[in-house]
Amino acid sequence: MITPNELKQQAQNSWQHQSSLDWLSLPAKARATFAGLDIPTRKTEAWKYTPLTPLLNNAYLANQAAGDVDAGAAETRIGPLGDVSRLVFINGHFTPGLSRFSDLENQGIITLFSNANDTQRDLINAELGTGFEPKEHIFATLNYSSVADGLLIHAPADFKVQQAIQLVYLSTAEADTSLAQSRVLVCAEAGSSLELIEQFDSLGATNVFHNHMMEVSLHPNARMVHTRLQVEHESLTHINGLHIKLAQGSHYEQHALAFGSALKRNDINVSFNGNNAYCRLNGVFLSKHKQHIDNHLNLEHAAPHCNSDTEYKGFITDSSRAVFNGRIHIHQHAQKTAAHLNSKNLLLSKQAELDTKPELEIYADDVKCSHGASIGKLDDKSLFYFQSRGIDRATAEAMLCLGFVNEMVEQFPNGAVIELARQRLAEFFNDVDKLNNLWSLE
Amino acid sequence: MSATPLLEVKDLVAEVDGKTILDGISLTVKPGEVHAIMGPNGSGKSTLANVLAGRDDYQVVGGSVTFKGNDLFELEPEERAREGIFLAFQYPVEIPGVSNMQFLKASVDAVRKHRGQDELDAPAFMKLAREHCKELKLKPEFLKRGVNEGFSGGEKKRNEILQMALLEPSLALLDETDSGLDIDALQVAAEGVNALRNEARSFIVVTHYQRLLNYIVPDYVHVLAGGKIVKSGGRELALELEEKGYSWIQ
Repeated sequence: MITPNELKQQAQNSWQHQSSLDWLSLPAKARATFAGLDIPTRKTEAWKYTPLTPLLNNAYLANQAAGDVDAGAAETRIGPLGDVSRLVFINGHFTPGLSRFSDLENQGIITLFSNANDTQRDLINAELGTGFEPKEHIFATLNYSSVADGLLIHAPADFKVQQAIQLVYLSTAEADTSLAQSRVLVCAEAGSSLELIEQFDSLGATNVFHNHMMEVSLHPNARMVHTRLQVEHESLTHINGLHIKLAQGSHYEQHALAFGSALKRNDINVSFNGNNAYCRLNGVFLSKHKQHIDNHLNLEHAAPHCNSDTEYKGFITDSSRAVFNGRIHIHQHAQKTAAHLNSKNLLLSKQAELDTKPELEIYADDVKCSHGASIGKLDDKSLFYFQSRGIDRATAEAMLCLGFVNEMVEQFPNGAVIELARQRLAEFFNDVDKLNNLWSLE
Repeated sequence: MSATPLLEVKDLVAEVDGKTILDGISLTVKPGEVHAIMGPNGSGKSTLANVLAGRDDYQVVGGSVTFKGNDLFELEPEERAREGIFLAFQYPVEIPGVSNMQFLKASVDAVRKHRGQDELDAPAFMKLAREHCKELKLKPEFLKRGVNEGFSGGEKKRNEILQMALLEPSLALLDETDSGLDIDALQVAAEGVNALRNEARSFIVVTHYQRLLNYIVPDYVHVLAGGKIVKSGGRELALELEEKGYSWIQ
């Protein structure tokens, strides 16, 4: 085990062996910021319940993951999603052989940073890294300290991207423990709309630390529907930053399913910068065995007349640990905000632990806000209803658990994604007592 | 009058948190009979139905109940259901995320297995469920929705009747099936119940109002007050209650 300082040194050493895009201004800035930051410890408030032990125990940062893969195995794992534009990244590396997005590439809507033209480079330089405070997000800063490549999704004004865009990130077993990084910048110009499906998965056990970043900027009246599946093998270490800027009248909706792993951390930061913007965050996370999952949500209501609805559910069993931190911050001039956040959790084992913390900070005086958190066992009335129909208690409990998770999954906007999510859930439940043979009940 | 009783309740006493709700109930139900239990609010009539179905909010502190000759209290709620007791809930529970079809299939599978019948395969079950839906004027999409999730009052009650039809119980307990129903919904529900009446199947119909009994005509009417059966009679007793109210009895 190394010390946090040694981890920091490891990161800084790794940059010497990596090239960045020479026209990109951010890495130099990010490196300078990173140099002044400390690796979070348990004393850091935002990391209080999430120790970075896997990073200190494995020399992830000493090696860069490669992008080799068995195409057939990858294709099988990705699964068919029908008519979508697809980009596949293996350990963070773009993999053209598994990708198909030529229509959107030709229209300049999807571009790899390495292929960006001057206009696109200007856009990337202007937008990348502006969605968050670098000092508060050390792993984002780490991500931007060495940018070998990245993905730009740019929807022009009033353009409706008809096909959903599927981004697949697969982690694999590498020769050595290693680091995989990826980043996506989404700019949706005024009045445009798009649907994005992010699929984080792995080909069996993996010894990779995947550090992923996405920044989204929705211009006035732009719309984005975003589904995220984080269904990788439990051996993965994954830190994920998502930073969203909402301009006037824009609409962002997210549906997320996430499994725990050796370490999984999701930061979602939403900034309401213009009036009448809307954000929905629907999420369900599951952890079993000794997995760990941490969801940190922060909604910055900095403009009046904006609404947000956040509903997160947690399913926590065995000796796993989960964290939910949902903060709503209503700035002084953000009058007429309606913001609601709810965290509902099923804690199914005495050894499991959940730390849930909804936070409301309100500095405006004319707002409607609510927040709540519940940690419970299954409802007795519901259990009796099942039993009164001849269903034994164990099966009733299992079905209620599945219903709890399924209630979120069935709200996913895309039927093929629901199907895929259900397959992964079947795998997840495979060794969860009593749930294994029920999930497929349709 | 020679048939063996299906259900025999003797001096049943039940309480909630030390408060006596049923105070010595005796009731004999033979196969094919329909018994109405009437009474004012708080008389214990819903408690009786729930105690028989096995809800553990109530503590049975005295008396005995035999069902098909066996001690009912030896059985878990799910075992009672498999043996043929069905409770149509006054307030059916909403279970989001579990489809009505999943729920019905799991239920019917469990009961059929216990009765030594073959499990129905999915297509056969779908067909059967759809037929019953049609009789109860429920759209087929109804089966795909979450159990009782967002159902209207009438839909919830008809869903109870649908379950009853699929489970083919020998004793159905209808707990205020008429509450919250308009007259049309009431008729549909009552027709569903009447279609299931036969010489082997018995019903205990718990209701506050005689209205329901115009549609589901009982063989016997019992009036419950203060946890006791204070009067029993034939159908005409319900009509008398309708006219005179419960104060006449108490």
